[in-house]
Amino acid sequence: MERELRMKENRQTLLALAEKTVAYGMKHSDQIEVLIRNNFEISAEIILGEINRTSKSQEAGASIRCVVDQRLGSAFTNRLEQSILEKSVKRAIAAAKASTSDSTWQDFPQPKKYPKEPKVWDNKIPETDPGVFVDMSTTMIQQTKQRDPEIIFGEGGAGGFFGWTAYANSNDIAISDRGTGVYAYAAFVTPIESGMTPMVWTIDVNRNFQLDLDYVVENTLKDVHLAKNSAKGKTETGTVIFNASALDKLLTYAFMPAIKGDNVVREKSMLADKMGDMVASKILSFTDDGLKENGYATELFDGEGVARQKTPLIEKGKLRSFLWNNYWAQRHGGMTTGNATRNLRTGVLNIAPTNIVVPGGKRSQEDMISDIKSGYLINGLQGAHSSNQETGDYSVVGNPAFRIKDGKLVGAVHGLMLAGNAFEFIKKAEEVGSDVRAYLSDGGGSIIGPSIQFRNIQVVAKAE
Amino acid sequence: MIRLIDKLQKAADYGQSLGATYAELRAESLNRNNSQYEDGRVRSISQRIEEGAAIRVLAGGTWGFVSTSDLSIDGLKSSVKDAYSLALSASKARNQPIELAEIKPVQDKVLLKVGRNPTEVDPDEKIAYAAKLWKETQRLDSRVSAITVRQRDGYGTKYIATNEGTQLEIGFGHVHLWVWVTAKENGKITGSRDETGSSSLGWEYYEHNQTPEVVAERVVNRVKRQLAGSTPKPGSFPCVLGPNVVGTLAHEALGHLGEADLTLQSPFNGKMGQYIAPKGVTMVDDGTIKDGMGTDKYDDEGVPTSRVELIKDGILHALLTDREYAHRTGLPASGNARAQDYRYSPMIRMRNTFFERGDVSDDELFEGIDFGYYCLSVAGGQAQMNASFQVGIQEAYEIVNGELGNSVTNMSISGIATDALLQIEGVGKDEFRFEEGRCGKGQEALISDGGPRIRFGSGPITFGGKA
Repeated sequence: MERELRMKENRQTLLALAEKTVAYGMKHSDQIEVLIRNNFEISAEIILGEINRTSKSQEAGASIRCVVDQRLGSAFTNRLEQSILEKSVKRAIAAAKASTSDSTWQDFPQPKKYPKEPKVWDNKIPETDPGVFVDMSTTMIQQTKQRDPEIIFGEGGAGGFFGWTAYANSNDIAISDRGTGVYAYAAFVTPIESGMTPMVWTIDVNRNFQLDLDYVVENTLKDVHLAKNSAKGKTETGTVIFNASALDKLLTYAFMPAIKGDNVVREKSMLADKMGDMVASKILSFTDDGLKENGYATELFDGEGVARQKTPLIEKGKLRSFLWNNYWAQRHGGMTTGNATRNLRTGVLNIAPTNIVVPGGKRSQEDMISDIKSGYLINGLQGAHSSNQETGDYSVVGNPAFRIKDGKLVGAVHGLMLAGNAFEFIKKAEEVGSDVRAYLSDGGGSIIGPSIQFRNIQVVAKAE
Repeated sequence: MIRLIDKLQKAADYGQSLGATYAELRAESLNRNNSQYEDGRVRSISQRIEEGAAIRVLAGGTWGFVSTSDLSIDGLKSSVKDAYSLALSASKARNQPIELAEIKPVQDKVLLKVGRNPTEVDPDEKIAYAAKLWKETQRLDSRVSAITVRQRDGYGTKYIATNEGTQLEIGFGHVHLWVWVTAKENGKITGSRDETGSSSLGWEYYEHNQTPEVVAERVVNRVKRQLAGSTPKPGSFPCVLGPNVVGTLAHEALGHLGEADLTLQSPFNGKMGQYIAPKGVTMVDDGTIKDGMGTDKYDDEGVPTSRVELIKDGILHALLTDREYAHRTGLPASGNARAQDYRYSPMIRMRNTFFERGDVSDDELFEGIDFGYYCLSVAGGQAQMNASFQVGIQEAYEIVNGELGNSVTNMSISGIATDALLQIEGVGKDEFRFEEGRCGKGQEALISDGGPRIRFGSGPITFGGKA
C-alpha cells in the first residue's frame, strides 16, 4: 500500500514538475511544452545457456521545447529536479534564438477530451523481485535442455518495465500516464553440416503479468528444428507466406514511410495523391490503434500530449488515412492522428505507427501451407532497412525462410532473396491466416496480425 | 569537494568490501547537441548536458548491473549495493561462474584535443552548414526535391574506476553527419544517403575534410545514378566490390562472427587455426589506427585497445574479446569491450574493421568478366548467425566485357559469408578510404570499416533483382 502511494506520488510529482516548468518557461518564451518520463526496467539475461547478468536501469528524462518568434528550440536533461529543468528551459530558449524562423509553425496542441485510460498497468510488476525474472529465465533454460540438449540457447531472458509520463504545455494541457509490461524471449541456433542454422527467436510481451514461457520455448524449438534441415530454393515468381513479424519489417521500411504525413507534405510519398484509391489487395485492412487493449505501444497520449486513437489506414485495400503529428497536420491543414513519437534526447518529433492491427482470416497457417504445391514461408527478413523508402523497392533475404513442397514445410533455404516493390507487393496478398499474434515492430510499436499469403513474388535462390 | 573519480573509486572499494569479485564504475559527463534540418527549415535543435554512471559488479559468478544519474557518493554506494544484490540473485542459477582474464590495472588521463570543440560551436554555424549543403545539392541537380540533414556532436569526459585499481579519465567526443537526399523526375521518386563523422577531430572536420561541397557532390552523384539506373538481374554473377561494400562485408558478415560472444554460436566456432579464406587474405579490427571512428586508447573495462588480425593470410587467427570472453577462450583481452553510454553494460564490439590491401591491379580485377556488377556504395547491411549476409547497394554499375557499363538501381547482394570468403579471386592493391558509421548490437557504437576492391567469382554472391 505504501509502495502504491509512492507510485501515485511519482505520477503526480512528474506532472507537478512539468506544470511548474511550463509556468516558468512562459515568462521567458512565447510557447513551451514539457514532456517528462521516468521509466524503470529490471531484467535477467541469458547468454549461451546460462544467466549472465541481472540489471536494473532507470531512464529518466525531460524534453523541453520552447518557441520564440516562431523559432523552435529544445533541450533535454536526465535530472528531474526543478532547478535543472529551469536551466534546461533557458538552454531550449537559447537554442530557439539560434534557430531560424519557421513561417509554417502554428502552435503546440490544444486541450481536447481524452479517452478512458487504457488498461496497461499491473501493480504486480513494479513490486516484482528481480529473482522472479531469474527464475523465469532458468525455467526456459531447463525446459530447452530437457526438450533438446543439442540446442545452443544463444540469447534470451525475461524482464519487466514500468514508468510514468507527464506532459504539460502553454495551452493548458496537463496530463499524465503510466504503463507496465513484462517480456520473455529466446533465441536459438544449432550446428548443422554446413555450419550453423540461422538464429531463430521468439518473444512474448504482455502489459500485465502474464507470460507464456512454454510458447516462447516451444515456438523457438519448432523453428530451429525445421531450420536443421536444409532445402533448395529456386529462382522463380511464386507463392510466399509471410508471418506478421517478417511482414512488419517489409512494411516498416518500404511501405509505411509513404503513410507518414511528413513525407506526404514533403512530396516524398508515392501514396500522396492516392487517398480513397485501391492501394492494396482487397483482402487487406490495416488499422493503427494506439489504444488497443494490451498493445505494446498503447498509451493515453502521444509525444505531444495528444490523445492516442484508432486510425484505419487501409480498409479492404483502399487508402483511408495517413498518420500525422500536430506539426505536420497543421502544415497540411488537417488534424493530428496522435502519432507523434519523440526522441527525448535529440528533441526530434517524428511520426510513427503505434499498434498496427491486421484482422485475421479463417484458415490456419498450416491449412494455407497444405494447399501450396511449391512455395516459401518467411519468418524473418534480413536487410529490410536498406529498402528504398521512397520508391518502395526492396531486395532482402528471407532468414529464416522455409521451403514449402506438396503442402509441407520441408526445411530451411539458406540465402533466399526476395526482390520487388512494396507498393506492388501488398496488392498481391491472396489470403489472410487466422493465426493472429502480436510482435514487436521495427517501427517502434507492434504489429498484431496473422500470416499472409502472397502470389507472384520474385524469389532468387543462391547458386548451388 | 570530492573529485568524481575519487567518488567512483570509493564506491568500487565499497563493492569489494561487500564481497564482490569485481566492481567497476564508469561515469560520464558530457555535452551533446543534435539538430535536424529539412528542406530549408530547422526541424529541431537540441542541447543537453548528461551525467550518469554505470555500475557493474561480479559476485557469486554472475553480473549485476545498475545505471544511475545519481553521482553522489551515497547514491553510487547504494547502486553498488543494488548491483551486488542483483548479481547474487542469479548466482545460484548459474553452473559455470563467470571469471575475468587478468589485466594490469592502469592509471591514466587521456586528453582529446580537437581544433574546435563541436559543442561550443555556435548553432548558427551548424545551421549555416546544413543550409549550404541543401543549396549545394539543389545547385548540382535541380531534380533534388528534399533533404534531411541530421547533425550530432558530443564532447566530455568518461571516468572508470575499479576495485582492482584501474583509474582512467578519458576525454572523448565526436562529430557525426547523416544526410538523405530525395530527387524526383517524371513521377519517379528516389533517394540516397550519406553518413560521415570523426571521433578525433572537432568541428574542423566539416571545415576542411567534409565541407558541404564535398558531401553534396557525393550524395548527389548517388541520387543521379538512382534516377538513371536500370533494374538489376536476379541471380549469381561475378562481381567487384568497392571499399565501402568490402568494409560492410568485413564488419557485418565476418566481423560479428569474430566477436567471441557470438563466435561460439557461429560457423567460426571450432575453426581457429584453419583456412577460412584463400592465402593472402587478411582481415583486421584495429582500435589503434589514427583518426579511426572506432579508435580509443582504452576500452570500457580499462583494457588497452589493439590490432586484432581476425583472418591472417587466410587463417582464422584471433577473436575480439572482453575480459569475460578472454578468460573463457584463453585469448588475450583485446580491448573491444564498449558501451554506448552510462545506461549500458559493455559488450564485445568492433572498432575499425577492414581487409588489408592485396597485390592485384584495377585492370586485373575487372579483366575477363563478361557480365557482372561493380558495387560501390552501401544503403545498409545485416548479417545473421549462420553467416548469411545482406547488403543493400545504392550505387552500382554493370560490368560488361571487363568495362563499366550502365548504372543499376535498388539492388542488394547476399550470400553466406563463410562460403564467399573462399571464393575471393583477387584483392586490390589501391589505397582506400574508411567509411564512418554506426553499429547496432542492442546498443550503438561508432565504427569505421573499409578495404580495397575485391573480386568474387560467380556463385557465392547472389543479386536480388527483378526478372
